[in-house]
Amino acid sequence: MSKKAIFVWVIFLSMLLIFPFLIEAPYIMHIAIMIFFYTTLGASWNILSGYAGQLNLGQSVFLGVGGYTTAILLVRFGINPWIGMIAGVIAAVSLSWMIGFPCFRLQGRYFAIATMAIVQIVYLVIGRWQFAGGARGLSYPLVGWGLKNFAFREKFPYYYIAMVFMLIAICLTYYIEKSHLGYYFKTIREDKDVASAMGINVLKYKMIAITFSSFLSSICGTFYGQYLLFIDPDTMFLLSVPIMLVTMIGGFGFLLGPLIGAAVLIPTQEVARIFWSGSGRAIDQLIYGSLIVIIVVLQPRGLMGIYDSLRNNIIKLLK
Amino acid sequence: MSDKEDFKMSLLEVKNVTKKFGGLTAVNSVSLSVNEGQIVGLIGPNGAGKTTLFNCIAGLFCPNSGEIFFNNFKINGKQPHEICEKGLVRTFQIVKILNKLTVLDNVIVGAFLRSKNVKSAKKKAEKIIDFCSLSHVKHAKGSELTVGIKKRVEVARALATDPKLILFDEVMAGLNPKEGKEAVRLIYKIRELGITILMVEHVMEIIMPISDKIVVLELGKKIMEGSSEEVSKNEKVINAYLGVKS
Repeated sequence: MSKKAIFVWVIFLSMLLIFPFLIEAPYIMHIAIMIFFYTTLGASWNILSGYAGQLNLGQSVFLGVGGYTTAILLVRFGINPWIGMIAGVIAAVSLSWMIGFPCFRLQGRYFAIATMAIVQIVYLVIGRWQFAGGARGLSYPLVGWGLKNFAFREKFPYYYIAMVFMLIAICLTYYIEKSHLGYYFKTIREDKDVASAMGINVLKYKMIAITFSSFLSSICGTFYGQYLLFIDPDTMFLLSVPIMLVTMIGGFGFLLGPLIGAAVLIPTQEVARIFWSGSGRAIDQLIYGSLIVIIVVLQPRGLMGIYDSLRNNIIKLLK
Repeated sequence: MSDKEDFKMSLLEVKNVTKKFGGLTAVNSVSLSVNEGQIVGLIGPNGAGKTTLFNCIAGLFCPNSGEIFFNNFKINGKQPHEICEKGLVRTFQIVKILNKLTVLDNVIVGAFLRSKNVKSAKKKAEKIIDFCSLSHVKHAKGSELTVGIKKRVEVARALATDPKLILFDEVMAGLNPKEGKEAVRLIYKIRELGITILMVEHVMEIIMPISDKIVVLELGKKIMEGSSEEVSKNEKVINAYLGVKS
């Protein structure tokens, strides 16, 4: 990374670190936490669908499996949520392997359909499983506050944890971009036959991608449950579309795509809701939806795509 | 030379390979062998089964019967990436390079096969790009290149995998005469590196002079094998291309 880029990141990180000391309004903190949350989720989807090109239409299933594993272990067995988080990762990654191993050998569309089906199946099963709270969900017991219990009264500890998760996601994506994994994923995305002909074990690398993807989504699921101190199927399994949206608007296959997408979409959604939802005519949804349509039509590669094209055009002009 | 000695010497040994697609027998019990250091040409009219045979050797298809040995490893039924790892790499008839990546990145992908380290892969890729006279387009994106350059990038990418044998599938197709001459020069340079070549070609003026041996297919069967001279004079071959003399 260039010295300039490192400098920018240090400044950015410092700003993030001191932000909670400047703004104490819980609502603003909530928006910031949601931005970190969706950035991490977007990044998890980006690794599998953006870089490796395997379209996952049910990313929320990994979020949900991670969250529910932690929740069930905590509520029914009293197991510490951090341990529950590890268990959640194991469950989510195992599920990802069970989907990936058979489906990755078929054409991409079959994997996409399988992911659509799996998330629906898990959603419906959990909704009827009383041990997991069924459709009403589970309320988390208050065993105590503090880092040890992954439960806090104030918002700022959640802010920092979410920030750490986001940084893990960005660092992982960065590592992928800079290593042979990035090249291999992009090759698989563009042309599987070429990948094979270059000695790339396509199945192996797709499995690596889905492992990273499910891991990141799973820890987000654990986090979300601990943040809300409540879990239900609707909260956990219906987020696939916002996750994809955040990445596609920000930049599909770009390192900063999910971050930019989340930073743009979530405040927009909130602002639109505050100012324009009062009339009851869903104007806020119209604005939110129009923004999405405009960006997708103008530049399918999202905001990062617009930036990239602008930069290339400027470079060409200057030559 | 006895058969046993032949077998030990040949780098690629195709034995009675048959490939059927439903009712169509695309390759019918074809055998051929390629010795290390040779340039072997595979010719035949359209539909003769050349690309299908290539795909069987490269692992894209699994032969219905027969065996293929490369460097004494049985490779029929193995996956393409395993075969590439063993040192047998192929180029594609319709050139397939990664359009969104630069030339350098395309070749780096190939280089990663032998070493996952980015720096060393990059160095290796740059050496090969130099070797293939592609330095001037190193940073151009795949989509910006002409067909001739794209084909050379594919060759460079194949070379980056450190192959022992390269399968060239109509690498001359679509090249003008000047590009064709450059391609031939590159092929000789590749042979000088000790790499064995098996190439499918339609352009006779190019493949005949450079091949040590020519194998002729027609309608899935091998009808002749020999030196370029023998092949060009053989009646069966002439009939296959021009039709039976009336």
